[in-house]
This record gives sequence, C-alpha cells and structure tokens, in this order.
Amino acid sequence: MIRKFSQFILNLIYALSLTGLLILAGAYLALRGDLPQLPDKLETINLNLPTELYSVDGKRIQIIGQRRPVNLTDISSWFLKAIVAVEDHNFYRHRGLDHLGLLRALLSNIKEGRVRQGGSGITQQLSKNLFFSFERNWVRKIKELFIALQLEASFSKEQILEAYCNQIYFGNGAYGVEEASRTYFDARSKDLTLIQAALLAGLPNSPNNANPFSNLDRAMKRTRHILNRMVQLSMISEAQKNQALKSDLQLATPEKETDSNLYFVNHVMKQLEENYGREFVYFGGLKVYTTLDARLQKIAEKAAQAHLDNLEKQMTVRPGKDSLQVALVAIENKGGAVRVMLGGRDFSRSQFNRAVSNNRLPGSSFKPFVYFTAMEQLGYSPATVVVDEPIAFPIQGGDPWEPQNFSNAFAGDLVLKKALMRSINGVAAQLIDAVGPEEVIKTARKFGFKSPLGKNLSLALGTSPVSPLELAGAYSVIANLGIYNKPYMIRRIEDYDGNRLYEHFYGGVQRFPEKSIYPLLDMMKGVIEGGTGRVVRRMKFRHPAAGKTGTTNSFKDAWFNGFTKDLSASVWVGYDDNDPMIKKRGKGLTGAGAAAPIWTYFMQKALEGKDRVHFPKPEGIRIESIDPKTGILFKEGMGESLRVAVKNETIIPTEALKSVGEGETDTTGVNDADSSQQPADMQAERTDKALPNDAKNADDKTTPKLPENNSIKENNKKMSASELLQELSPLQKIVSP
Amino acid sequence: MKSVSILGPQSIFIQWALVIGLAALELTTHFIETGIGNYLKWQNFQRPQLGRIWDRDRLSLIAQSKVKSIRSSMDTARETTESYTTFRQLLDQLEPGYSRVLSKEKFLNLYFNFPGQWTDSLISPYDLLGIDAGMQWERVLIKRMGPWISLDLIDHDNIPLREVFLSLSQLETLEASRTQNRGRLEDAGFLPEQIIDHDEFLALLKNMDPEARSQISPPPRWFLEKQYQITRVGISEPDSNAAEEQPLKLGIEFKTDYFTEYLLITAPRETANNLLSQLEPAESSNEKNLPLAFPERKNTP
Repeated sequence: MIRKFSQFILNLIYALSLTGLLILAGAYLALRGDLPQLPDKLETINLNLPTELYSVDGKRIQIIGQRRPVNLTDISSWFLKAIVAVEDHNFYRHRGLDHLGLLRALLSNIKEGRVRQGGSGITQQLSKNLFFSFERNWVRKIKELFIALQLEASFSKEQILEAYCNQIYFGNGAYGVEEASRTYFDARSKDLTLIQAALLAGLPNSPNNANPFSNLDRAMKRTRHILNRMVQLSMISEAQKNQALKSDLQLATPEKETDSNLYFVNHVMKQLEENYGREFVYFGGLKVYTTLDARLQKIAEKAAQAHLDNLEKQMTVRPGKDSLQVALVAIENKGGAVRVMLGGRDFSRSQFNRAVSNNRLPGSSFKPFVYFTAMEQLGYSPATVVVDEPIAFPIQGGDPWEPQNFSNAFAGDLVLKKALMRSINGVAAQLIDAVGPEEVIKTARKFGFKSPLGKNLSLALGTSPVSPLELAGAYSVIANLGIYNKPYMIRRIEDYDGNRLYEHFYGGVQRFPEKSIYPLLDMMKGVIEGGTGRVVRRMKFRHPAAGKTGTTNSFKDAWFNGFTKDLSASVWVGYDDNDPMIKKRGKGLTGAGAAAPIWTYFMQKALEGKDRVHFPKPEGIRIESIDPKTGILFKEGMGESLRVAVKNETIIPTEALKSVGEGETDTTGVNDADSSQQPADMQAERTDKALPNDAKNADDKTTPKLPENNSIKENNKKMSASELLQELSPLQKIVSP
Repeated sequence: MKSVSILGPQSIFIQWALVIGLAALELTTHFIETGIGNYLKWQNFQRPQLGRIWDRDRLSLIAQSKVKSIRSSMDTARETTESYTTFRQLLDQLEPGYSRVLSKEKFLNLYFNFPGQWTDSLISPYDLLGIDAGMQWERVLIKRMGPWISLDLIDHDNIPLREVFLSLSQLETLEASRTQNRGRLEDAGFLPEQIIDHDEFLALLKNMDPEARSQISPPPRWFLEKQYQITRVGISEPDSNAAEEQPLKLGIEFKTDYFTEYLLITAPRETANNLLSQLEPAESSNEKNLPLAFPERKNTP
C-alpha cells in the first residue's frame, strides 16, 4: 500500500515535471520570437546623454533624460542591504528565480484570479525595466523570467545589482539611486545614512504612494518596515534600527515641480520637437541656450502671485471653480528675445500655457493697431479731431452694431491721442469703418500677429482672440520704432562637445517708418501719463513707458500691454472658464485694475537700478501742445493742453474752426485744411445718424463739418498730410508750419 | 498485470533518491535555471533587438546621426566660406535670402588681402580698429536681402556691434573688379606688344599722383607682404568700337613661391591713357615694343 502510494506520488512528480518541462519548452517556442536580445554590457544602458536647457543668466533650467550612473562601490552599503532585504532577500542565492517567492506569488495570484503579486526578484525587475511594458500579464511574466534567467547566466550578481540600482525609478522624476539621493536628501548615494537608505529602498515598490515629499508618514511607515526586515535578516541590529529611527532624516526641500520656468521650457521643447524631431531633443545630448531670464521670470511670478492673491480677497466667491489665472510675456525690444513667459499662476496646478494660447480676446489692447492704420491710410495725426458720440453700424440681417464706451458716456469732440488715452470704443469703431477691417488686418500682420483676425468692424475693439506672446511682440515693434524682430526663445543649440548646431542671428526688419510709428508711441505714452493706464504712474513707476489697457465685455479679460525703451510686456488676467471677474461690491475687474499693477510691479523690479531711457525721437517729428478738444495749437489761457508728437508735415491749425453751418470758412478753405484731419466717412456717418436732439445740437456747436462734397471726401481719404499741404498751398499763411 | 521493475523492489527507493537528489541539486546549484539561462545566452545573437532599451538605443542613434548631419552641413558651409580667396568672390556668391558667417580672422584676411582700397569703402579700417578695441567682436554675419548686402560685425552672443549695408551696385565698381589669377599675362589675352617690363611700370607709378596710382595698382605693401615679385605689366588694347569711357584692363604679373600669377585691374580709360602717354616710344627699345599710346580715337576731343 505504502509502496503503491509512494509510486503514485512519484508518478505525479514525473507527470508534473514533464508537464512543466513541456509548458516551458512550449512557452519558449511560442515566445522566442518576442524575446529580446541582451546587450553585451549592462554598464552601457545608462549612457544616454541628457539634454540641458539654460537660461540667459546661465542657470540650468531643465535637464531631460538625466541619469547619474554610479558604480556599486559608490553606493552606500546600507542602501544595498536595504534594497536586497525588501525587494529580494534571496538575491545572492538564486539564479533568477526564487522558488519560494514564485510559489508564494503563484498561490496568491491563483487565489485572486489575476496577477496581483509579481514575485519578481531584483533580476526580474531589471529585466522588466530594460525590456518590457509595465502591464501585468502572464505572457509578459514568462518573458521576463526567461530574460532574468539569461541575465543571471550572463552577468555577475554585482553587475545586475548595479544596473538595477542605476535603472530603477524612485519617484519625483528620479531614475537611479544617485539621482534619488540628490533629489530627496541632496546627498551622494555613497553618503546615505541608514534611515535615508531604508527610505529610498522603500520607494521602487511604490514611488508615488511612499514619496516622502507628498506623504512623509506613509514613507516613514515603509521605512520602519524595511528596517524591521533588515533586523529580521540580521543585516542590522535592533540597536542600529532604533538609532536610525531616532536620527534626522535630513529630507531636502523638494525641487519645485511648480517651477514657473516650465511654461517656457515646455514651449521651447515643443518648438524643438517640431523643428528637429522628438528623438533629437530627448536623445541628442544637447545644450540649449534659451532667452529666458530666470531672474525676471521669478519677478513675474511673484508680481502675478502677489496681486492675484490680493485681488481674490475682493472677488465674489466661486465655489468649486478655479481661481484667477494670469499670463505674462516679456520681450526684449532690441532683438525680440523672449525674457519671460509665465503661462499661468501655478504650473503644478495647471500646465496650460496661457501665454501662447490665442483663445482670449485682446479688447482695447488691439486699438493701437487700428489707430496706426488710420493714421497711415488716412493721413491722420494724433491731433486730428474726432467725435465720440452714439453711432450705429448697420449689420446685414441683424440689429445694428452700436459700440458703447466703458463709462456709457460720450466725450464729444476730442483729438485722436485723447481718444486712445481714454480708450474710446466709438472712435476706434469709426476709424476701422473708415479704413476697412482688411487694411487693419494687413497692418496687424506686419506687426507680427499670426492668429486669425475677423474681417469685421468689431475687430477694432479686440474681438479676435490673440495670445499674450503675439501682443507683446507687436507692442515691441512700436517700442522699436517700427523694427520687427520675430520673438525667439532659443539663442543657440550645442551638441555635447560644444559644437554649435543652431544659433539665432538678429534679423530685425524695418516694417514701418520711424516717423510713422513715433506719433503712435507718443499717444501710448499718453495712456500711461494721463489715460486709462495712469495707475502705472500712481504706482510710482518712473521710467519712460507707453502702453494700453484692455478690458473685454463683461470683464472676462483684463489686459495691460506696455513697454519701455528696452522691454515690452503683456499681461492678461482672467478666469479659465471665461466667467466675468466681478468683485464682491459688484464692480468688474479692468485691465487697469487687474493687469496693469502686475505689469508695473514686474517692470519696476525688472528695471531696478537701471537708467531711465527715453524713447529716441526720430527726425521729422515735432512736439506740439494742442487743445485736446479742438486740436488747435495751444495758447496761453486756453485751459487744458495736450502734447502731441506729429510729423513735421502735419498741419495743426492755430485757430478754432467754425462749422460749415455758420458758412464763414468755406471760401478760405480753412475748413478743408482741417478736414484733412477729420475722417470724412466718420463725418458722413455722424450726419446720417439719428441722435438725440440735444446731443446732436451740442455737437453741432463745436465740431467743424466737412463740406458735402464727395470729391473732397475722397481726396481726404487718399492723400497724406504732406500731399494735402501742397494741394492746399493757399492755406499756408494761416496754418502753422 | 504485474509491473516489471529492472531494479526490483528497490526501484521506488532509487527513484525517490533520484528525485530528492535532483531537487536538492536544483535547490543548491539551480542547474535548471542555469541551463535555461545558458541556452538563452547561446541563442542571444539570433534574437531581435526589441524592448525599451533597444528603442532608446535606436532613438539615440537617430539623434546622434541627426546631430552629425547638422554638424557636417555646418562644417561644409564653414569650409566653403573659408575657401573664398577674395572678398568680392564671397559677396558675389551669396544667394539672396541666405547668409554666411565668417570668423573675424577670415574677414580681416579677405579685407586686407583685397588688392586695392575698395574694401575701405565698405567699412573704414579705423572703424574696424574701433570695434575691435571693444574686445567683443568675434564674427561677421553676411546677409543678402534683395539689392542689399549687410555685414553684421557680431559678438559671442551674435549681438551686432556694427551693421554695414552695401548695395549690390558697389560690387560693380571698377575698384571691386580686381581679380587674382594663376598664369601668365598671355593667358589673360595680353598680346606681346601690350606687355612692358616691371621697371618701367614702377617708374611710372612713382611719378603718378596717389589717386591715379591707387586706380591702377594695389599699394606696394600688398606685393611685398605676400612676397610677390612683379615681373611684367600688360595693358590691353582697346576695342576700336568700344565707347570712349569704357575702362581698360591692366595686368600685373608676378611670381609667387611656386607659381606665376597675374592681377587683373580694370582702370578708368583716362588714367590708363595718362599712364600710356608717359611710356617711352616702342622704338626706343628693342625688347619693349609697346605702342606709345593707344591710337587716338576719332571721337576723342
């Protein structure tokens, strides 16, 4: 009976062994085509050269593919003991397969009905890391096992352990024990203390859950477990364990994933990938020298954070919704180098780069380009008198468009500079109506706008979305007196040996004559000196500067774009979900209130200790003082005066003009002269419109009218001021030179 | 039926002993894993290079080959630039919309190597001296945009220290057209009767006013520094149908270390005539058979 039973058991063993052998052979035959070849040396697997990005001030702002392979002798013995204790205590005894460990995992997995426990030792984990996906399934497990067996047959235990230590992921972007030591403890791996080693050894199993930066308690719990395991395996004594637990962990300050440089870095990486391909960027071992100024970026982040924190205390509560967001781009005017790119408030919370995304409306920030087009196309000057009054533009198949001002009031007669300073919507609408949206778009393209721009009158009020980067670039053309430099972010790329593979050369193109741009620049200086952007001066920013505010309908977007001689910056503030920014008291946030303070604080700090540099006045420009309502040369006792920069050939009347209705100036032609500075179409619109009687009457009293002569109107549209001056030579004795 | 065992009743014990022995052997020596491992090792070279590590290797190779290709195209461009022997050649061969980068040394070499003072008209050597005094000038970026060529003298960070614009028409001036060629004057089409000895030419040069002198010859320094020994000078016969203002061609032949070369200079006709009028009559010398002057043209006032 015993003999029979014994024989039965033996037969069972034979059958199982044979079955096992057949399964193994079958598995091998089935999978051998998928089994990867092993490299000759394990040391070479970490030899990828990292790509490094540097800021303009020499700071390394990003490393991609960073590995710091170390020899086994350069790793703390505490760590080696700890990792063996926790991951594979039989490592030195098996040949790639820990029988008991595998049996335990097998039983557990059969019980669970799925692959729950890997039962993988160090060699199998290395095999997985080098060749296979992280998906858990039986086929992959078998392949992993085969490769582990081959690894054991091909390399020594020391070589395998060293490769494992250099290859494994420890969380927080750290691959390899050296990188992990530096990340978590700011120490070399050979200098790890027992507790540090135990903590690190606990990470490969759950790099995110046991991450000491995010969950120190859980990390310490796992550390204690590992220390106990080491005691069990007689790797350390109980006393050593207790001493380790009492010792200071000396955890490093986490390198911020919230680093705002990452908006810039990611954009540069995207650009590089588009231009050269992904493999070139990630495996090229490049040194990319960027234009980012890390100091200015920090200032921008601080400025945005401080102001938004302050603003949010005043805002209506939006339960469950995201907080205010910001974007800031700063460009060096001289060459177009992007010095700052803040794409959001906190990179760790939102990686969406608002600085380059063109999904927000610029509002009045777009007006300077409309004004410039009108001045160029119609021969207007900053002293040209325009009329701000209720107007309506017919829209085919819809209600007429009636642009309203921010204050819902109308200013009546005023010069162009004043209209821009006060950001009057009606005037911008009349100007675009006079020149046509196509012309404005053409001009905008020359300023560097790439986003689609709608061919409609409302473009004047910034209804086509653009990015802060585009706006900063376009404003920098104004600061540069018409020279366009394509904004760029990469100064040069070098290979690992320092050979230059790419370099940026300055390629500024004079897109607009200096003489044409300067009057616009001067008008924008007015915005800061006494217009909607005067908060900049109230905040005691003393450098010569120019700019423009922008606020869109219902306070959804707040902008401030401005520049000094050297630096142009664009700031946007808003909610990502496009909600209106309304304060608790019911008032909305404007460009002046939300964006301009950030701009000012940023510029103040960025230009700290630097000389105040004035914008150079080009030849052919003269400065005049005028009456901002009538546009005539200012005389003593006239009240308010406004300084304007005009081209030398621009005629500024010395006397107030009388309306055509009074019939006094038709014969002399003075009205004609002045009409050169008056948009003809606008005048026509004005007379056609049904206005409230009092408004119309009030207007009639002060505003000169054009003669109802179509040919003159046409001439006015096409002639430049100098041509008009020649045409109207008899007037020269009565107009200023 | 009774089973027959070779080993008799001891067979079970033997079998158990074998099984246990094998199991013990496996547990102590891991011979199965080692065997499989060694078999796989033996088969290793037949297997494909699959998996993450090989993908990374491949990508790394692609990246490195891209780096190499960029480097080689940059090296080619650099070598092309370095191969230019004259400033004129460099500017002439610049395609519209393209740019070239020269080292400061190469630029100065071309600048001062030009046989004449034409390069001074592009940028004064004193300006160069001033820019160089700032100790930042490293390279020169030359760009061609439509009818213009710009020379940017740039620093390490490519920031222009000075930008010079020149019109393409400046390349068409007489002063710009001087070329240095290998060969003898006869190869350039000069007839024996149009060639004079260097002594005679130098004697004439000495007595000419500086401006006229600069129109027909580089300064002596140009020859001396390069160790070019002047041998002969040729003055081309004017085409009788040519317009009066059409310039004349002068050739100065000289010996270099290994070759004979000549410098072709286009000189204004007035200066050339002035030069020729001072030459001795051809009859005065048996060896020198150059005509006294070109036959007076009918339409010459």
